[in-house]
Amino acid sequence: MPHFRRGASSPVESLKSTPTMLLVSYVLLCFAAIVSITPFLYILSTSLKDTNSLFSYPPDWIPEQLFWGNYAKLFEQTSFVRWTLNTLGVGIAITGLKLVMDSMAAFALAKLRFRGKALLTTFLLLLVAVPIAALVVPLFFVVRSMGLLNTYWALILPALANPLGILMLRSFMVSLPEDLDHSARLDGASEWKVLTQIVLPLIKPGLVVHAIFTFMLQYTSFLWPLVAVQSDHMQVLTVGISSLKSNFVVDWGLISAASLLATIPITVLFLALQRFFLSQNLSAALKH
Amino acid sequence: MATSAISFRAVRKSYGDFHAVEKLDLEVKTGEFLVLLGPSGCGKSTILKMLAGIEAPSAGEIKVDGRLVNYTLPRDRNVAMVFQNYALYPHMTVFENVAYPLKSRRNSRVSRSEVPRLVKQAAEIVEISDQLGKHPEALSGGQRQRVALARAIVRNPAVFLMDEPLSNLDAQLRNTMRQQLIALHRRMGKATIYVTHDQLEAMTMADRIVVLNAGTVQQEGTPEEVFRKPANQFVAGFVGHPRMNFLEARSLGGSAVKIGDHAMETTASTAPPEARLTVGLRPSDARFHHGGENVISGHVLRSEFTGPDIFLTLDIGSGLKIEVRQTNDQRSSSEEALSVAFQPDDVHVFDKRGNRM
Repeated sequence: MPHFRRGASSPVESLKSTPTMLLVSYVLLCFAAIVSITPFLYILSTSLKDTNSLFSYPPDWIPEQLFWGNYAKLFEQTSFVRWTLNTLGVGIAITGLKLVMDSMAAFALAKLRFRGKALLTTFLLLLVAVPIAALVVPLFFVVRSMGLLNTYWALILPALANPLGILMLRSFMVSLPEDLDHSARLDGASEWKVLTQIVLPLIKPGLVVHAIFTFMLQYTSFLWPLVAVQSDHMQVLTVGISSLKSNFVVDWGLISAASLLATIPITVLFLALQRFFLSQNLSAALKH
Repeated sequence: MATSAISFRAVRKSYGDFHAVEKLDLEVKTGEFLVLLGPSGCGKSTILKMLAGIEAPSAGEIKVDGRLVNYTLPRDRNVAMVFQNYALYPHMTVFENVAYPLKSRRNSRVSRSEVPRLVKQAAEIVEISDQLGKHPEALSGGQRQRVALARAIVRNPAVFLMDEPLSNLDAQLRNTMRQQLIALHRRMGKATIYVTHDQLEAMTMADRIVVLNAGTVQQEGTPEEVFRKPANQFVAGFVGHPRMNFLEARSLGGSAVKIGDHAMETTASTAPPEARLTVGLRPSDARFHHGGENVISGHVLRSEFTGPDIFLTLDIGSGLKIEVRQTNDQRSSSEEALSVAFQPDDVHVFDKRGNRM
């Protein structure tokens, strides 16, 4: 275990303490912040303009008169609320199911002994490399033959087959000392109890990272939901928002309003959980 | 006749072509403290793991209390183990750690209401009663060790297994823990197998020592037998500190040997004459100011003062060197040339293959 010291002698501290380095790092950070925040502000600005002021040149960053019509239209004339609920529901279902399934699979790969384990692990690793685009067509036929097209199951089931989470949780579990689970087995624990009472409590940071990762992946997925679900009231946010521009006139104000609102749940989730897993990681790192 | 608490019959363990343990036969009686002693990689931990059910033997039978356990799950073997790194559950308090074996068991004989009483009782025995609310990370190494012991004794198993439990403690603490472990063992009266590479631990604690090397038993006996009559050169070199001197020698027939120019009488039969042998002499067996029989003389190359003892390296001619121990009161004025005597009993003779003659 590396030993982390929180003193002035640590590399990070000395980097910060040089005035030049401090200046350079602030300049870089400012640049990065501007690059990432500008599009966001532009969307905010666009969502508050009516159609006429939308295309004025040069563009006004701050509209002379705030226009709330886009938001009103979004809630009154589209299924935006329904899309949001669909997205949250599907995302929570997938995250919950994946945490249960992946932790069991990872436990088997990390802590149990069986023939072909190394081969299976390698196979899962290879599967990670297959891009979703290559899977969409065969997946479509599979899901159609199961009669699940245009159902929530079509959105949920394929996402569960992603092996990345298994491998990630496995690496967390492998890092736990073997003697812990040996000891638990001798103390009378079944494999299920070794998993739930010993292993899972000790890899909480890994579970949180896994949950955030899975939820965000689902929240931003576009291609598969576009294929799997047709009716408007079943759509998730990504597909729903893109369907707003299917008319002859693209209503940029409306789309901006929808995009802006769509970022809110994921931002809140991330901020809430990020603090948790950062502190967890830190305490784990400093323990030894 | 009472059955042994633990019995190994022709047990082997191989990993592919590597034989970690070869044909082990071993019996441990109830109340006996058996030490498996050997260098790292000699298979001693593998023996423990097979008994605990962490590793499956490749062949042979393992019995606990007369019951075959080869195919029994670890939790059903009635065996408790103390691990080298203690293996305490970091997310549980000391109380929860000690209570875990009582709570996690299906069909436990212990009722829920009895758990706190048993935990407190175990905690009292190992003197950690005031630590029960803490988490393991708040404890010192010695305290963690005690928690691991409490967790082992709380469910009253038939057999205790200890895998180098003292090796992570500092020397001072190791001394006290050694005595306390023995006291605990006497109190529990169960069969204990204790694994260590530290010959001092083995000598001071064991009722019986099994010396292992490369997966095979080298010698089995009481600490005194292993020290006085090492079965082969490996045991002779591994047990005893400082290490035994090994010197090339020639048989003079009968029971005499010749080391360089020095003829020595032994208690072994060293025939045939002129056979090449190895003679082992413990530094601590050297006697000074004795004269007469079985004397080796040489001049002092180096002398190390360690307090009560002085360790001298002697050049005894023919390119041979030997280390001897001199106590302070044996110290002679002339340090240049010295004669040391060894009793015939203390001259260990080994044949070409290293076996005791």
